[in-house]
Order: sequence, then C-alpha cells, then structure tokens
Amino acid sequence: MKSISRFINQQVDTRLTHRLKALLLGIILGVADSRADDPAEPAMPSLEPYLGHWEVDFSATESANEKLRFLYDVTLSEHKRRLANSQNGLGDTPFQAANDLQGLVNLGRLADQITRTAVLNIQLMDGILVAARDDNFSLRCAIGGAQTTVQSVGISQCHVQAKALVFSMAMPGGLRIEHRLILSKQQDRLSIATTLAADGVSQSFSVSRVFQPFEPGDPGFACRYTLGKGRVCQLNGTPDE
Amino acid sequence: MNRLWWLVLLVACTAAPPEIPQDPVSQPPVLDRYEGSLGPGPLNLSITLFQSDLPNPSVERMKLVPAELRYLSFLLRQQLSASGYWGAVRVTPNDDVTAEVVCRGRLLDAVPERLEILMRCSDVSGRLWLEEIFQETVPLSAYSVAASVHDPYLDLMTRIANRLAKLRLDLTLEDRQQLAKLALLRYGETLSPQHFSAYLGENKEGFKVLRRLPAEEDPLLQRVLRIRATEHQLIDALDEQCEVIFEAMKAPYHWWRGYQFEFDQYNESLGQKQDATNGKIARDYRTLLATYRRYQDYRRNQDELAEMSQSLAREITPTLTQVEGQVVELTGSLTGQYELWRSYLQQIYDAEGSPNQP
Repeated sequence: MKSISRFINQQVDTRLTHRLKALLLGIILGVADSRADDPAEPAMPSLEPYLGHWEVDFSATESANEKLRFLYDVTLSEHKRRLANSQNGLGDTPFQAANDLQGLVNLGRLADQITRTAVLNIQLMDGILVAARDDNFSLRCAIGGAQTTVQSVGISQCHVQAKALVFSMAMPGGLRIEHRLILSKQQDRLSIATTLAADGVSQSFSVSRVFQPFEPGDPGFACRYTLGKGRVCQLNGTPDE
Repeated sequence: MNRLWWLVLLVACTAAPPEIPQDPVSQPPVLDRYEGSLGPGPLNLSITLFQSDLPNPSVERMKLVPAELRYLSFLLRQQLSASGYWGAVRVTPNDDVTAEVVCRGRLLDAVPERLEILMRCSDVSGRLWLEEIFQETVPLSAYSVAASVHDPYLDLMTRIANRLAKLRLDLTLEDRQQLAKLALLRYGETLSPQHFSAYLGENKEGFKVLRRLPAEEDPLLQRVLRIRATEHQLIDALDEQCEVIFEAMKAPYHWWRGYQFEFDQYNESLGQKQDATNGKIARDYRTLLATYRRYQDYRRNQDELAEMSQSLAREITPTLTQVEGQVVELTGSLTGQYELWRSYLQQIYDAEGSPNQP
C-alpha cells in the first residue's frame, strides 16, 4: 500500500496550490442548478444562452490533480477500513484495493489530459448543437432528432437532464466519459463537469471547469474553406460566416 | 488384369482430386483497360452525383453523407477514366444533358466493412445499359497504413467500370456515331425544343431515335455546338474543383472508416470476452489513454468530414467562364452554379432568337 502512495505522490503535481475556493464555486454552480429542477421532468433548455464563445475562468476551475489527491485519500481510507474488516472475512483483499486505487489514479490522469480546453465555441448548425473545443473534437448534439449516435464506436449520446446538456460517451473496454454542461442562473458562467468511470474502478472521477463568455477580437485575418484552394486565410478579410 | 484396371482408375481418381472452383468475387478484379485508339465516336459518360438510400442514418451521419456521395462518385469516375473506354468522364450534380451515357448510383449501404450501390446506366436514347446492385465486403486490413494508398472499395468501382466496358464493346462504330448525333440533337432540344424536336422521334420500344439530320452548316446547329463546347468547359471547371475536395477527403475518410471498423470489431470481441476484459482497461494507463486517443482520432476525422460536407453545401469557389465572348461569374454551391449556368445559356440562346421550324 505504501508503494501505491508513493506512486500517487509522483503522479500528483505538488507545485499546484489549493484552490478550495474554486472547487466550492464549481460545486455550487453544478449542484445548485441541478437541485433547482426536477430531474423527472427533463425539458430541452433554451439553447440560445449556451451559444457563443466561452473561455475558461481559471479562478473558478478545479484542478484535476488536487481533485485526484482528495479522492485518493478518501478511497484509501475506505479501503483501509475494508481491509481491517477483511480480517473478519468481510471487505476486499489488498490486491483488489491496489487495483482499485491504480484505476482511480489512471482515471485522474486521463481526466487531466482531456480537460484542458481553454476556449469553447458553441454554435447551432442545421439543428445540431456543436461545441467546438480548441484542443479536442467537437461535442455534437442533434436537437430534436436521434439523440444516440455512432453506435458502432461504442455509444455517443446526448440528452437533457435537469436543464443540463449531457454528452455521454462509452468506449471499448468499459471506459465511460460524461460532459455535463450547466449554465449558471445569471447565464454568465458555463460549468462543464467531466466524469470518467471505468469497469473495475469503484469510484468515478469528476472534474469541473468553469467558462465565462467573451467576444473574440478581430484576429486580423479571416479564413474560409473553399473547394478550389482548401482553407484560405486573408489578412483583414471578412470573417467567414 | 481386370483388377489392375480398377486399381489404375482408382489411383488416377485419387491423384487428381477435383479442383474447387474459385469464387470469382474473392479475386481482386483487374481494371479492363482499352489499349487501342478510341477512334471516331468516343462516348462521353457522366456520373450523376450518387444519391443516398441509406437505411435509418443518424442525424450526425446525414451531415457526412453529401461528402461521402461525392467521394464515391469520384472514385468511380477515377476508374472509368483510367479504363480508357470513354471520352470525357465527368461527375455532374444533375443528369448531364450533353452526355451520351449517364450513370446514376444509389447508396444502399455504406459501413466500413460493406458498400452496396445500385447502379443504373442508360444512354441518350433511353436504353437501359445496366441496372445492378454492386456489393463488396472488405476486411479490416483494407484500412491499414500500407493499404491507405488505395481506397478499400476501388475493386467495387473496378467491377462497375469493367461491366460498362463490356457493354461499350458491344456497340458498333455506327451505334456510337448514332448516339453521338442523338446526344447533340437532344442537347439542342433542351435549348430550342421547337427547332430540334423535329429531328427526334421515338421507336416502338419507346427509345429516342433520329428521324433526320440537320445540315452540317445549319447556323442553329453550329450555335448549339459552340454552346455545348462552353458547357463542357464549365463542367470540366466544376469537375476540377470537386476533384480537389476528393483528394483532400481521401485521408480523413479512409481513417474515419478504418477507426469505425476497428471499434466495431473491438466491441464485438469485447462482447464475447466481456468477463475477461472487465476491469482491466483502467489498470493500465497506456491502454486507457490509447483507447481514448483512438476514439478522439475518430471524432476528429468526423469533425473534418463534417466541415468538408458543410463547405460543399455552402459554397464553392466562384467560377469564371466564357460564353459567346462574354465572361460570366458563377457563384454559390455546385448545383447552384450549374443551374445558373444553364439559365445563362438559355437566355443567350433566346436573346439571339431562333426560327420556329428547322
């Protein structure tokens, strides 16, 4: 068990300071809004407030590393309790506990990798909500159409749950990722709670990032995609529609 | 002695077992290439952009389908051109009114491991050359890095090209010349029905036939020839633009289908060995990350294809072309440009006036 602790300590970046305030704000944003509505009556929220450009608000965003450290401690305590019980024939074995903690650490590391989006551009295109992320593939949700898509590549699904837009993905091997987009009451903050879960790991791992709206400045150039020349960019050009 | 005969017969039979006939479909077809000169009367063949009859495609998939249809139409064009049996081979948004032979394809099924297309080709007289479903199933290895040079469904297109080549060979020189004349007059009929319909009729089977021919120096015929030449130039210009997108699509479409196939198989194998694999993926970070990266690559390719598809529907580069000494600029989508062009031609033809009788 000590070796696992050492491993965790290597994984967790010790340079980062505590952002308890940020953590709390993220939780408040996520939880307060979800509690306000009855989850039994999912209704498509007005998509208008979601649309536009969003940039990460670092002051209100959770750190995956800190979250991992916290969750690791909780899980470790739980396993210690269970291991103590196992002397009486209850609880799990040290081997199971080690695997579980290893799985949790791996989920945390992956969460850190996939939640680095700094800028979002959410648009409604031909009945599909497209959340274009600067560092990753777009999250797409067909509004009013088939909600579950690309069945052959695991499952990619989006649905509305308590005024949150939920994008779920299930990948081969039992890896599941969920992005939950929730707008604050004032509609000036957008929280994206990302949850990772995998078969064989007792805990899922969640991390929230908070975004604020911004107006993109004139980059000085405009690009458009043409058949003849591919992507063409012009200095001081008219922005592409 | 009699026994010896039986023995010899038995040995002969066992030594040479009957050969199991090879399934002809399993052998990759070789493109039938016309080596000689096409000589007079080469037939132009146009492929009308394939249409989709995909069963219950998702909304997401529907966004990609226009690009896929265009890509597959061009893949067929590539093989038909390479066969050398035809004059110009083009892909057009609507049925090409100038071509001697027009092929239309309907996509019945298009998953990474299987492609099914209903092909329907007919000539300008209305005679049906071919109405057949072409189907091909490919293994996952067709999407490997080594195989990325060739599209997995190139063989299917080769089979269509070979079938059409055979049908083309059945035509005599006279047949081809008749079709060429019929195509020209049918084109004239679209511009000036009152003048050119008198040259055309129908036989008892309902196919278009030539009743008689206009004089070679007929000024209206000369004008139709000039206008058709400019129409060919426009089709070539649009075709050239679309070829650029075909080339750009090759890599992302290949990998997108490859990843989809890989995931299909992986999911299937997981279903079979679910108990053995459960809980293992998260134990190894490299496996976990690799699983995510593959999915990420798949979705990024999907994004790229969706962008291309939107671009196709939205607008293509304005085309500058000339007709009867005037420079015209065509803007909008491919179909829009083509329709605009047809209306220009009609306007020019009408402005110059035409006699009512041949």
